[in-house]
Amino acid sequence: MYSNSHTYTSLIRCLPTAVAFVSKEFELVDASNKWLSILKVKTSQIGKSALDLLPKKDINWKQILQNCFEANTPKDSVILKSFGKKSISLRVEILPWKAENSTAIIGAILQVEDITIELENESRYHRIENLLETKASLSKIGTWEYTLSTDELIWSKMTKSIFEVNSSFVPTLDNAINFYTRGHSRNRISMAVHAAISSQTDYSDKLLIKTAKGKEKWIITACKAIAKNGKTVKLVGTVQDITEQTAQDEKSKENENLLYTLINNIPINIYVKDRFSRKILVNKAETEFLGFENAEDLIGKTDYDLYGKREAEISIDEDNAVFKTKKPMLNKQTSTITKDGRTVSFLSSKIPLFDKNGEVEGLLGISIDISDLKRKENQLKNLINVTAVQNKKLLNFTHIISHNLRSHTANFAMLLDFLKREENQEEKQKIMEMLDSSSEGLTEAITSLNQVININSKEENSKEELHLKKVVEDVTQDLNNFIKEHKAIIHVDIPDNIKVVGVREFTDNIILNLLTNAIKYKQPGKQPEITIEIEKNGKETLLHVRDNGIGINLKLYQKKLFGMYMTFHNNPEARGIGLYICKNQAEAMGAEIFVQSEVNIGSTFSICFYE
Amino acid sequence: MSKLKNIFIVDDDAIATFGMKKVLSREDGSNIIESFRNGEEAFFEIRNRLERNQDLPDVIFLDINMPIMDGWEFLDIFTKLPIEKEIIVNIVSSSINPIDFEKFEQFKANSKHALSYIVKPILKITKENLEVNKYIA
Repeated sequence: MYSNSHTYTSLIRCLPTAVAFVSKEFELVDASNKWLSILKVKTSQIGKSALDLLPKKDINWKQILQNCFEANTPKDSVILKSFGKKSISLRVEILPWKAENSTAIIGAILQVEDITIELENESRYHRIENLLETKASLSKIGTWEYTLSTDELIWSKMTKSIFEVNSSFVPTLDNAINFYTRGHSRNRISMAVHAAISSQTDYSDKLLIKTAKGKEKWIITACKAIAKNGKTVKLVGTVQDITEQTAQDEKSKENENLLYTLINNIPINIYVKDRFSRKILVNKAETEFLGFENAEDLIGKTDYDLYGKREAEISIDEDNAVFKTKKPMLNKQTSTITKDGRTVSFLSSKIPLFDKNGEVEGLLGISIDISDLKRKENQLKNLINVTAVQNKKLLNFTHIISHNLRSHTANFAMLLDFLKREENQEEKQKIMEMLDSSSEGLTEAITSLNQVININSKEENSKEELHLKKVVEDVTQDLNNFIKEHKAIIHVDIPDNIKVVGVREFTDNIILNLLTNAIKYKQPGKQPEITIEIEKNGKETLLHVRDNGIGINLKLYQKKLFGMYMTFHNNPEARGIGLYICKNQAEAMGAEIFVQSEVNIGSTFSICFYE
Repeated sequence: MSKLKNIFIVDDDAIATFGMKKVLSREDGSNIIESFRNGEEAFFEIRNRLERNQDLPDVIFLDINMPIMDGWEFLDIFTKLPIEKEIIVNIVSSSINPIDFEKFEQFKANSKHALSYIVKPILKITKENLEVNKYIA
């Protein structure tokens, strides 16, 4: 064994593998250069104890070698990690060293292999495998593999879980296809698998399966054919459970549909504008309001295309404020004039829309038509105003009456006081006469007050169609004596067909008053001449009573003319109640009364009836 | 009553004017009393006298409700006349309307004349209605 040792030794040294020989006495008998270099052992150390030369690393080399010598383990191996400066990994294989032509063990052969890369690959492989598994379980993607030569189908854990079979289930091409529901899904998969095998056609399809537990699931099943020499040898594929997504898709489609229906049918104008104030969505109400038939025709248009310049500018300014401040404009009252000339009031809101970076990308506009509300509000305001005016009038009326009655009673008290003290018979007689006239005045005041109160309590339905010519003729007939007495000339110039709506009693009284006044306030030494005529003015019918009397200084008395107890002449007969009653009667039947006059020329009083 | 007083009564009601004169004559029969049917007549008279440097009234009894020119309108232009002496103006009315009282207070605060408000009926005239109270004014 030790003969030709030199040749032997040089042969061993030159071996391309890293190998060493250790005797039963643990002596390093010889080693290849590669072995020496990997384990950092010098040539001079050959012949020393291998136990001292082998890397310690908590390895019981003595025991391992002993086991080898005793043939307890035919082949043993030790892995050394992070060895040396380069931190390489080594595998040391320990084989029994047998004598030539004998089974006797004379030592051990230690073969060393650098397995750094191998280990790294292995750990990478594990990592990838882990990753794949995690990914599969997260995305619920299962894999399968079918080998044509063996007709063997292998399902991954996830695939089995998707099909809800237990881990011992053995899939076959036939039972796998039978999981697909009868009809469309099963037909599709059968054809797809056939096409994949026969012509390497890959497929990916969304199909419905019924799992082992009878549950229906939507899956995406995909397949790739692997060919060798033009012939399919393998099919690999994936299955992905998308039941949840499909359900979600359907749900969100439903929601979308609901939202769409809601937005389109709500009687509120809704639109979305982009950052450049172009409309990118409009609902039905907005489309109709803008006078369009199709919402599509509005897309891309700005307010300049849809409104007048001024309105558009205001609207665009609002948009820009929302874009700039990122704050919504809420419930602003605006009014717009539509193409057909209606004034429409809106309660408008503009709400900024943000992209995922928090930047404003547009706005949502909501406008509620509050025209009806506004109209009602105005009606209410008017009603309040009318009520306030009425109230004021009433208060004023009360004060006037109280004052008027008080002035009579004050005279009574004074005259009675005088009467008590007076001794002169003649003077007493004079006071008695004054008391009489005071009493008459009081009676008259109360009578006219009754008349005023009656005007305002007259029912609306006592209005009737009045034949104006007839009314005027009747009044002049009643006044015949008075007219003759003053030698007045009356011209009545009213066409036969003139009819107005009013209260007969009131109209009679107004004309009577106007005529009497016209005669009463004649110019001294001048014959009174009065013309009664009609003026038609659209829906208005005016009855003018024009005289050539003394006239009224309207600059001074315009405001007081129709007031209660207002007189403008030192005429002792004037009570200041006639025109006040006329005005109230005119108003009570929805007509108006007014005057034009010039001092020393004459006056024209007019009653205006509305249709 | 050392000196004869010029008294103006401005009222459209003949009975009221009669009563006023009677009450005044009972107090001191020797005054010079003149009556006017409305504010305009009284105003023209006062303006004429002012222009001619004649005696102005010492006391005015003024009704409120009158035709042509009522008591307030009279006061409005009368207080603007360049009169040096202080004239007593007794506003005589049957009105107890708070608006009339307010108007009176306003005129009183803005006028150099001695204004007072008497509610009808007038059965008696007191000294304050005829003489300027030197101590209070």
